[in-house]
Amino acid sequence: MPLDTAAAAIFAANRAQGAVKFDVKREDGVTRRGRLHESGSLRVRFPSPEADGLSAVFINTAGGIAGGDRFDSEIAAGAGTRLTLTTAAAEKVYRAAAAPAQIRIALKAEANAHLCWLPQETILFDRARVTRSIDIDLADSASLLLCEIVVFGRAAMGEKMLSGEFVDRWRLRRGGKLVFAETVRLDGDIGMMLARPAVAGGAAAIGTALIVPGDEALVQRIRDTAPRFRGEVGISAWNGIAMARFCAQDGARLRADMMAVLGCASGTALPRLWLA
Amino acid sequence: MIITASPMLTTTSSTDEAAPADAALSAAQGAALYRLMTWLSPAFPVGAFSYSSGIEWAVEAGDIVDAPTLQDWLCAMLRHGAGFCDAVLLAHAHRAAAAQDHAALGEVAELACAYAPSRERHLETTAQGRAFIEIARAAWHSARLDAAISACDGMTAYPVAVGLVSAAHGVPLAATLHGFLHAVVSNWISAGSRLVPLGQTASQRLIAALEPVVIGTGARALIASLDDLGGATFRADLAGMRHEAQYTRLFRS
Repeated sequence: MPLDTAAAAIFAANRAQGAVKFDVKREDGVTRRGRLHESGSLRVRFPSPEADGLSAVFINTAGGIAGGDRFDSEIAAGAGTRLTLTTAAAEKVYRAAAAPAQIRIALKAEANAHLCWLPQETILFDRARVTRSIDIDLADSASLLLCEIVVFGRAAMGEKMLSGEFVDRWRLRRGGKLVFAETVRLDGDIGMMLARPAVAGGAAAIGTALIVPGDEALVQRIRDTAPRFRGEVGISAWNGIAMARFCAQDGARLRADMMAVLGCASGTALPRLWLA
Repeated sequence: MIITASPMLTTTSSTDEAAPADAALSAAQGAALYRLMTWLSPAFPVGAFSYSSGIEWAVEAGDIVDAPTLQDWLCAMLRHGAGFCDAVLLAHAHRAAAAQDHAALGEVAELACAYAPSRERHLETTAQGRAFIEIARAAWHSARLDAAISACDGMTAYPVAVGLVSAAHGVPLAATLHGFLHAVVSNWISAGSRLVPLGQTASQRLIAALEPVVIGTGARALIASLDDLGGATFRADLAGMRHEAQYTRLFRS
């Protein structure tokens, strides 16, 4: 076997694969877990039961994401359930030699379900390559709180992401209708792109939150907290949804702003893991 | 103007390069140029002048203070923002309408209406698109127009409207794309130059300086799949959102 083919085979054999699939149902007035499927290095744990909702925590036992890895999550919140999803730690995406890592997330919320997708931040190391898709399918009466934070390099360690690839494709359907679509695409000389004022103005962290339903009253509540923000925050509502966008010098500032916005949007407490 | 624009309107560029400078346009080329210049002129009543795509906030916030900062902002919006994304959506709407593939056209139409980063940017693309379709129906009707419009089910964002009307009139895609990007960037410069403010000569220098960016963005959009859609102008999006709460405003976005 030629050396490069052998190296490629070893590389492929060492790539992490992980999948989590489960649903929750409402039984006797509380949210209960239905069938759960876990495989590879992606695991999910259900800590202490809460009032009438359920919390789930994702754990990546591979300890990070490298090029060629593949992770799939498919979660459905049945009618009338309350489900909050988060991650046990910030996800690190390491330098990739060739193929990008692929992350696929599919979320579904049926009638009157309340679904929160609140993972901790994703940290992209220099020369990381990752392609992610998030597809959300909401019933008309379902509600959603979703956030994602991406940090380009560990600023506290003096690290920066200079090049690599980050593609993040979001599609949100409500009652079958596409109400929000966006693909973030950064590749090549990412350091130079992020420096441009219309892109990130040199910021090292970006974030987005989607809130459904979202209206002008919510927008006003969030705007009223503006003096407390540590980075830049924008908020807007249209098509029955609200979207908040964040840009900050580092992950810590962005996380504080995200918590302030989510606090305005949600009656429920944020995952305790966020506060650690 | 007509001489330099004519090679764009044909599909085979290699022979055009060698065409004599006084070569006449065919009837179809002449019609295509006439229509594109009409539809994408600032005088075409879609209300383009009333939108700034967040530039009004960027000037207020001090991100845009002069010609070089405006140029850098617009360059990013063309390459990594609304310019490239709208061009890709236009290209796919044009192809679907030209092939009379109404299912594909309906999908692009839905995607284009959902692909907005804030309320005012959503208004900007849907209101201009709707106006473009209404004027096309009233003044520029063609046999294939109604079927293409009904395939969109009321969802005609501006690039989709331009793409489908051009296709229904047999106007070539590449020329439409470049014309559209020229209209978009000219409108941004017009807004920026009123707000900074910049003189007419500085504005013209900007349009000239951005020519290669427009050509490059149009060329990328021409070969992009819908999966290649994507951008990164987070702070331009923030500007669009913060514009909603701007105290004194001339523009609707």
